[in-house]
Amino acid sequence: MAFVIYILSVLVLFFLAGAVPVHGVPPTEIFRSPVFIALMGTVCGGCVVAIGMRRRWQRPGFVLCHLGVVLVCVGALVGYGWGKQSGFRTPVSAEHATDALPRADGTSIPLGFQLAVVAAKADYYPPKAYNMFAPPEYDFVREVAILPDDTLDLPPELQPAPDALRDEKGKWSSHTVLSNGNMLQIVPPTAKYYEATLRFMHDDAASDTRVTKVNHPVTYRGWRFYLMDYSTDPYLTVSLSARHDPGRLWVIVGIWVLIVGTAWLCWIPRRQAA
Amino acid sequence: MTANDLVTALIVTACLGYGLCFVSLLGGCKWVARPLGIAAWAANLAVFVLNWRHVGHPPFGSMYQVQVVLGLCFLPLFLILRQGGGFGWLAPHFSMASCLPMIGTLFMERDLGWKRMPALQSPWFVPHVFSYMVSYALLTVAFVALVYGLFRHSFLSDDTVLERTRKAIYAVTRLAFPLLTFGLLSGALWAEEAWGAYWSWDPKETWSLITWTLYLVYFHARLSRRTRRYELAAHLLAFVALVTTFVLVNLLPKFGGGMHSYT
Repeated sequence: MAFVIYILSVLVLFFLAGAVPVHGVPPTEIFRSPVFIALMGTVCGGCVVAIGMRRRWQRPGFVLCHLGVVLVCVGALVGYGWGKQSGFRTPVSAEHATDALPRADGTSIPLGFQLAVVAAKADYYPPKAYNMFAPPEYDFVREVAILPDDTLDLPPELQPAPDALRDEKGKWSSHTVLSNGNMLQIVPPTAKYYEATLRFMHDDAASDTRVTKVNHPVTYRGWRFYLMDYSTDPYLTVSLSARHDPGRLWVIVGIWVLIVGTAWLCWIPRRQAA
Repeated sequence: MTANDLVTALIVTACLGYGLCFVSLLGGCKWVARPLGIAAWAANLAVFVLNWRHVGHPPFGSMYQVQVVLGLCFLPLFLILRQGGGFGWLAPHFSMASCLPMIGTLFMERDLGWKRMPALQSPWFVPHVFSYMVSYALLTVAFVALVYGLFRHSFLSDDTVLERTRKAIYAVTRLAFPLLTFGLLSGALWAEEAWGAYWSWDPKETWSLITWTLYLVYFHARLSRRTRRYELAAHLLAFVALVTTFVLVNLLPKFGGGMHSYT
């Protein structure tokens, strides 16, 4: 057991080395170093040995926990070795179809089909608050929330008249001055929703159109496309991330096996589990 | 009275209630402690309801909101533990642990108009945060009990308390660890859906993995007589890592917010 503790302690030291910032940036390259990968291989091998030990099969929670770690490690290794990924920004236009994705090192990955972003839309929450600034220097005082009844979170004597806050169309004014001289400036609204419509074109098949949103990636011929961001400056563009990961299923199964195994091991008393 | 003032008054009530409940329990006045604890929890619940009403969805987003949820977790967990394992003597530790996050909320920006950005609009949002909060609540209690047990052992040479504390810490940590694991791994599944990467090694993720691994060291250290001497040290270190994950990574700009900058 001492060996397991040493290995886990070394692992923690690696995590610490990658978590503590150097010149303001955590040195996460350490997690791609051969030494770290070898260490993870040792953890994985240790789990295999633990599963193979005598009479361990009588404790399903124990086996599932260690099996989960092995599956996650194998899936991650397969994805690291044989996976492809790309992050790119593309204009929203049917004419800008691409059949290859750029890699971080400047090379490109052929897709085997053509991809174009043909439409995108975004929606915002109503403004949530104003920032309050006090004269004479107009230093920031605090954020003043807009309450559900469209009043401001201020004492009644400072409450501005409704027409001072919103115009005839209901749009919130960007600035207003309170009776005590403090100035309110609207906080830019938070994005509520955005989506992009992707069109896939292939020589041997009709074009296929799919809509991707944040948290709702689109899968096409082994590739998964994720909507990361969008911009309207200077023209409408979206940021997409694309991933082809043959180890994905292994990792997902491993994660669920690990969750179930941990719950089994910790929550079901040993005699009952056996 | 503004909504902000009302929330402040309720938080102060909750802090005082939990604090006085702790003092009463230490003084053996259970009949005073019980109504104080219930009143404090009711004030804490009122803050949670006001937050929910204001943001219009489960208020699990900003650091202030999750600390209110964290404060709310302790009493129900105590009742479950007392019912299931005879851990009623942990009551002062639970009330002390309830007080700590609520004190923290007094010094935090409330951001009552906080809205869920698109990445947070996922079915994973509530289970991910909630499982973390419940596990953090339990592990905080285990830590408070550990410090109390070590104090009694060191200064009053009370060995029976330390042994009883070891057993309680193990029971509480066993209850918490699967939830901590679910929080960690559901975050990975969510990240895969949102960004196409299970793991990005951002500071919050790395520190949460450090916390999880140190609790793993704690469990492994218990398994043999030779390594059992590291058991409590591992638990203490794991809690230090937990506090770093939960609070310091967000509060210290040096650590960098990374992909969890909105929390």
